Amino acid sequence: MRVKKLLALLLVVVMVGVVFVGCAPAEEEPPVETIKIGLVTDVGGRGDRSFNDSALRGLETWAGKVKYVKGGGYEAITDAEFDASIPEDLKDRNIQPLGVSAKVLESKDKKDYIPNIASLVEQEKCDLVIGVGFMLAGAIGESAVKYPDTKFMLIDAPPVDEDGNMIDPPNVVGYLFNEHECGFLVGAIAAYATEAGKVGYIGGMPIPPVLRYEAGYRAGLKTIDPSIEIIGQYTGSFTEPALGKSAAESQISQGCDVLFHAAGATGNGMFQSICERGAPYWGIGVDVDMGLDENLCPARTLTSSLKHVDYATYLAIKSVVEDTFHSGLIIMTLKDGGVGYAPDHVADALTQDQIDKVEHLREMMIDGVFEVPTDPPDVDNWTPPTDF
Amino acid sequence: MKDVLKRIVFGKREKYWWMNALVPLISILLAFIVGAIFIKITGRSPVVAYKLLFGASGLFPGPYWKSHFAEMLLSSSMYIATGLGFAIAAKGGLFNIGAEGHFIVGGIAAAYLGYAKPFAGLPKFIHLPLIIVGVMLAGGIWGAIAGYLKAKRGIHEVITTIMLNWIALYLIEAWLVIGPMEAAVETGISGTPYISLSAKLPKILPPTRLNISIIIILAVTFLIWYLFYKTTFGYEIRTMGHTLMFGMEAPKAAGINVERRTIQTMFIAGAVAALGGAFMVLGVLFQYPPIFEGGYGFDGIAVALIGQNEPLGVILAGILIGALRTGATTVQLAHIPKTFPSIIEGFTVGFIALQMLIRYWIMKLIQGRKKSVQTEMGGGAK
Amino acid sequence: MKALEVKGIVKQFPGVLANDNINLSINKGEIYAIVGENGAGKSTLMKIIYGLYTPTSGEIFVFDKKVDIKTPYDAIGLKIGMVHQEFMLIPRFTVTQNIVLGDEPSKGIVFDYKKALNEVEELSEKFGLKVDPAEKVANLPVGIQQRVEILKILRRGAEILIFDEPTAVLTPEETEDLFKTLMKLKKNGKTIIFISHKLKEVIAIADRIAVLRRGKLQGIVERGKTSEVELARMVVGRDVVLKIPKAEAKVGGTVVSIRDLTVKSKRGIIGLKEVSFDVCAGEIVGIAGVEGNGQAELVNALIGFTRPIKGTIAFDGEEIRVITPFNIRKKGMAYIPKDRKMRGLVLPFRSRENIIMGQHTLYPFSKNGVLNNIEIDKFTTKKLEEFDVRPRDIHTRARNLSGGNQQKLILAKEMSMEHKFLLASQPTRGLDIGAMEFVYHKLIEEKERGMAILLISLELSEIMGLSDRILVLYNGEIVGETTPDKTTEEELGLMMLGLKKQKRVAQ
Repeated sequence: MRVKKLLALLLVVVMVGVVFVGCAPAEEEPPVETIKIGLVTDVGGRGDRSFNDSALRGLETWAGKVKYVKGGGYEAITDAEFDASIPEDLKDRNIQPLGVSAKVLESKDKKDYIPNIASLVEQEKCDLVIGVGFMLAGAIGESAVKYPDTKFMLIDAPPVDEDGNMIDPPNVVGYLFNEHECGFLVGAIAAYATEAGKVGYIGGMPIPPVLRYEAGYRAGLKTIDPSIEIIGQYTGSFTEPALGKSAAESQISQGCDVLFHAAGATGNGMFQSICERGAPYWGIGVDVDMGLDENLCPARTLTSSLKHVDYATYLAIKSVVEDTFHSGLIIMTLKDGGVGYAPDHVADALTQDQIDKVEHLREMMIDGVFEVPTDPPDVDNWTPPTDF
Repeated sequence: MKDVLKRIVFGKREKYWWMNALVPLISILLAFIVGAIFIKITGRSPVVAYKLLFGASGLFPGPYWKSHFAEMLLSSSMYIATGLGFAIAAKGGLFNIGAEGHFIVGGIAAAYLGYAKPFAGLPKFIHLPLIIVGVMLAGGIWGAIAGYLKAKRGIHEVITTIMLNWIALYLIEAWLVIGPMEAAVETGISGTPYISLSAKLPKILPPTRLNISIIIILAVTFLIWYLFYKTTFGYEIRTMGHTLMFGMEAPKAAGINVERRTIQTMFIAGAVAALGGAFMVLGVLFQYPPIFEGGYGFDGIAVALIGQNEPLGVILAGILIGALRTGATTVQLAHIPKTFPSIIEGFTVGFIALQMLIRYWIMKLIQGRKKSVQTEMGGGAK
Repeated sequence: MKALEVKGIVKQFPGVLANDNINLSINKGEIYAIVGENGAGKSTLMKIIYGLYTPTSGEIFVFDKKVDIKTPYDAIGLKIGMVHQEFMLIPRFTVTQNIVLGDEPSKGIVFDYKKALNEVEELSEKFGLKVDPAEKVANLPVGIQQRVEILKILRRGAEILIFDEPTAVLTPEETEDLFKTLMKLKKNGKTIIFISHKLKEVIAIADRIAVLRRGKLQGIVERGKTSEVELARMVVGRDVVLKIPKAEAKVGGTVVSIRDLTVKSKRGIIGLKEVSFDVCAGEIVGIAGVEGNGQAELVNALIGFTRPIKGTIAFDGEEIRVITPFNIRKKGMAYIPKDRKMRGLVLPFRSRENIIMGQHTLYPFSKNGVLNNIEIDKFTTKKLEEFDVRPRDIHTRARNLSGGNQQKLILAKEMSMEHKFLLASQPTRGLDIGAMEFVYHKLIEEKERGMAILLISLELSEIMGLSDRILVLYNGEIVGETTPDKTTEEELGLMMLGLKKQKRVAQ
């Protein structure tokens, strides 16, 4: 009898739960007329110290002027904090808070992208939904067709449909970056910094953006000193530091003293290896300014090839706020401030003369004096500029 | 009615037949209570969290129910597949950690058969069954390798299945997807090419993404149940399941070919788990992407444990985990980490592991009750 | 002086009254036996005395003092020691280390091994229990291991020693030695409580015998004032035919013939050396021998668990090249294993599932690979009745059956299978008298039906009583062949120890 009672009790609990969950009114939202910006991370999620964090800075810190409190929720930040968050090379780009409210959904799995976007559109009624990373190309493409009244932004790829064909819906803007341009600059810095005449390159997977980094890097090295030997390899993963470490160890043992990676979290292993050895080895970071990251190896980070996902995100939000949104593909170049390099330890490793030369190359590229190849094999037949 | 239920669901004439269902239920309930305490400790409202979690889980009617429901079943079909992959092997006394490997092998097989030329032109009613058969063969063979090594070489399946998981992962992600199976550069697609239209699983609840995967897996689960409990083959597997892990030899002494059955069991386990990967590729992603972090194989272990390795239990547990995962990302709107549902899943498995204790408590409850009845009656007689 | 007295002990388990108002009074310096069938309540009573269970009601007096024993530590403190059926020794430790474990002599904080060695030597001399204190326990035969257990208890100052079925694991010689040991202990003034279901032993050694049946004390008899038959009646509650009924052998053609069979043991050494013999229809061939002399290897080769390195096994005159359990069973072999739980049954399975194991692929139990539950239930119901398996419920799990009923279930399973040859490996191991009797009857029935039976047993009385021919296995070889009427248990015993060889009767 007691068991039956127990079962009955269970049933009641469950039923009350159903009623409660089913009928409870949606949480009261204060009717504030702010523009809502939704963002769906890829499976890397918040805290990847790379792509997702960069996009979140563009949305939360710059456009929203808030910071994420660990564990959940936002709090406002001071003007000083706001100013400090803007990197050197973007200081003159007039980044101001846009007063939007941020809705961020992280994804646990590839399957989550579409439902996450759906929640942001349907439940949260976001004005703009941002998809971070090429992995969301399909999800953004499909959702854009399904929700024509919502605007979408996709970082690092053009949207595709269910069959993988590139599409161009009127409510999606895709941001691409000229990785080869910033790759070229760090390549030039590496060429000046190396004493051994041998440098290393660690790639995650040979996907187009990573290949562009490699092409730029090789071109930069070739421009300064064609005799420098490059030992490059692809680890096949963006997520495993252990692989990055073993790749770095092998390159160092072959005599490389400057290493550049474009391998996401896999590259953390490279910094670990550099940090354990210290001078004279230098590491070059990717995408964000890794020289600022205490968890990596700030002391031996020569520079970082910056890809301003944060700035692109900010620009997209700004276009929605100012109602100047245009669909299509936008390529972020050196000229736009979309890519660049971080100063980190450049001044310690290079002479002022060398730094000036790098800066000169940068200006030449902005002025369109020469173009950097985008595919590594093309570098061999490419004629580097000589008059810098 | 009760009798019929008893006969179908829980073994026959079990005195405490309801215990098999009550223990997982209590475990789940306890897990939710502990989860609530956790949320409370971190200073947030468990009520809001659970409301969001279940509101978006697809289990209960509410706003946007249709799409949540569809997403839930979509996830569930994959969890049921990998859960069965573990449960089938467990029925045969094997501890199969390989569902993750089977899942991605199934995924890559589905992608290949879905886009490769000789198949891609076929009509859907031929192409789709062909892919399903191919996927099950591929996963089955991958599983059978571990079975073979166990049966003929005596290497423990835990070790081989874990190693095979890594082998599968690197074969696929570090070679196939960026090598022979990579989409042509000019298409701009990373990963394998997209599968042809004829390879996509038909949708059954437009405009949602829900497709026939849930129907396929329910049918497969029924077949597995039939196999276990109605056939001599299943009978033999069950004899092994109760003895193999303890080094007992009764089935072998009775003339059952334990070695062959071990290989066959692992084949079936691999084949069913591989279906999960096929559902992912044929119904959700439509290609095999360059990185395919799923974890469905490992969650399958949890599903099987919560489902007590019984086919019906695996279905219910698969739906539960599918619902938790569907509701998972939405709890972030209440500023609760997306991993929260995984914590609940973990606690549930933890409490399931304590099931002997829970059983003991329940028995004590019943017996305490009986005893008090006896003394009351005894007192009355005086 | 009374060494131990229990008054009105009651122990209630859920659903079972294990001890029902037991009153015993044991004098100092006597050997007191407690006998009863499996499940009669002997072990429960001993566990209460040793502090492993608390009684529902009742009182215990040790040396005339009322005591409250809550844990084994209390019992040890009261100078009560127990030799368990499974020894609590660490195989990799030496005899000395095992004996002093938990109470080591020490120099400061360092273990004083020398002192311990001396202590153990003294102890073994004092009680006349010879052991090599420096030998590793793993290298000792079971009988000596038991001696180590006894020494361990004596060192803790035990005055009352409880032996729980001490002869179950011993060979006849070792049993003899144990009895000598017990007499020595008695001379030293120790009190011994001896639990057994082997009546012959009890009559040989005990001063007084208490008989338990279904938790109740049936009576206490004194040495020399009872017979085995009378005692058996008290134990079982009815007349028991302990004399095994003889049936004339109507020997038919050869069913199994084994030639030059040589088999490696699990440890990789030759366990069975060039053994040859035949088993004919309608006869029981008994294999006598001390355990570990090649029985396991013979069994494993016969059922196809181990591949012989030499020799042949022929069935019905036809040599079987590769023996697997499947194909030898197909030829018609039934097998009663010595270890029911390991090889006989699937413990979590129900009776109805266990009973068809091995014949589940045959009609009517299944057709085209699909089980026919109705036929299986019908068959099971019939067989449970026929083999008197209790409870009769076809849904009982084997785990919940008593040892005797598990064995009956195995007999039902094996004997209902179509077969010509029955390999019975220690079929009465661990059974009580009632179940033993049942097994004997079934074996004789089989023989009368014209089956060829190979009986492997450690019990000489069983071999003598049942066999038509006896082969003696020693050190992997057959050292003698005889018939029960041409030999005595003594002579067999000598052969089993390799002390006497006998020319084999020509094949």
